[in-house]
Amino acid sequence: MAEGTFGNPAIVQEELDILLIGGGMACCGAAYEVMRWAEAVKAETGTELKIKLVDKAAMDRSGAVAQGLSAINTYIGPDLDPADYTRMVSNDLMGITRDDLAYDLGRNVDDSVHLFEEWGLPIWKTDAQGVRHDGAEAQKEGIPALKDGGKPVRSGKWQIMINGESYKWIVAEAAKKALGLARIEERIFIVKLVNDKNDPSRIAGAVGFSVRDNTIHIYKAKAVLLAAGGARLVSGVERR
Amino acid sequence: MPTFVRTEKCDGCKGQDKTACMYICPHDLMMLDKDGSQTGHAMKAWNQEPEQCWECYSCVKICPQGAIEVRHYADIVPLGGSVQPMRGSDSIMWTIKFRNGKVKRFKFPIRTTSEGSIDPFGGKPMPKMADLGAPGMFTGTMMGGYRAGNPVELIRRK
Repeated sequence: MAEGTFGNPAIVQEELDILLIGGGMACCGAAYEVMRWAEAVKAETGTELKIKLVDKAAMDRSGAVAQGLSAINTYIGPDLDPADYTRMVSNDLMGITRDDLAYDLGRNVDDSVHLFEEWGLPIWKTDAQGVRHDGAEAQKEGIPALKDGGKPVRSGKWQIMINGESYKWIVAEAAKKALGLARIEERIFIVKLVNDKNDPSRIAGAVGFSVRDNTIHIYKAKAVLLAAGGARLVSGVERR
Repeated sequence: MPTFVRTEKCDGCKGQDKTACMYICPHDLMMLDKDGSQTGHAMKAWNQEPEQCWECYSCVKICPQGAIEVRHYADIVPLGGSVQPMRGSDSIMWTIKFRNGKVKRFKFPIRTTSEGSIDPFGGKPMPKMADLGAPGMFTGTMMGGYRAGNPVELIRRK
């Protein structure tokens, strides 16, 4: 470990098209989606988009889902309606909601859950006799995947039970494979967003420091996704 | 109380520059003492700031030698008790030792595919740039999770 010699930090500046701030579920999902579109852009125009994901720790155990979950809170399934889900959300948040966004989430969330299952997340299932099986047993028993009509074990109206110790690990692996390690920078703590000099209503990039080396990182980006979980007030809101 | 490394089990991740626990600790607490100047144990990992440890178990789970254990606060794990996971490739086993000697083990599955086997875009459609503005994800309908919703349910829509 270095003794207290400090000196001026090295400054590393980079220009990107898309900067993803955060290594949690949100940015992993965004990375998965954006990289396929980036491939389409490359195939159709030959342009290679410069995309980077920046995490203040290590992606495998990043974010709120780090050590796993026992359930996925929202799975609509073929029998429930996203409008009903939207009403539940609105009720839960005392009407202070964007019902259109909640509805759209309800319409599309199951797709993500089906992807998680494909990637390896064990999901509890109920078999034809109504017997419940954990994620590994369900596979051994040959119960079909959720996407193919398998029935999840529910706990309440919206929640489904999973064996989720590695939930984040699995999603991080998918994001890492989609991005490629060259597009990921871990151990960089973003502390500030930077406005566009010519248009202060636009964000032009972000600044952060390495938690390991004496380096400051400056990223200029055309588009920034900030999903750092309310960590360290970058969004202006502290999440407890 | 924080994590600690059992030096007789730790192998410094086989002499590499960065150990697994160093890679994963969210708080940057695990360090490799290369020359032994910090701990007296050369090429072993150690927790450099135990008061900052929030016992997330990331290092315990990732250590390939199972060399890291947690010394919990007495309110949840009294002296003589211990909570130790052993994470495998498809399951995790928690060994709970109570201080009266009783031992319980809990085994849970954690993954149905093998580590590193995810093929993120294999078999998935390639979208067209022209569809970028359209709603939905690039996977389109192939993941079977799109729930169109019954228009009759939109009771608050004006």
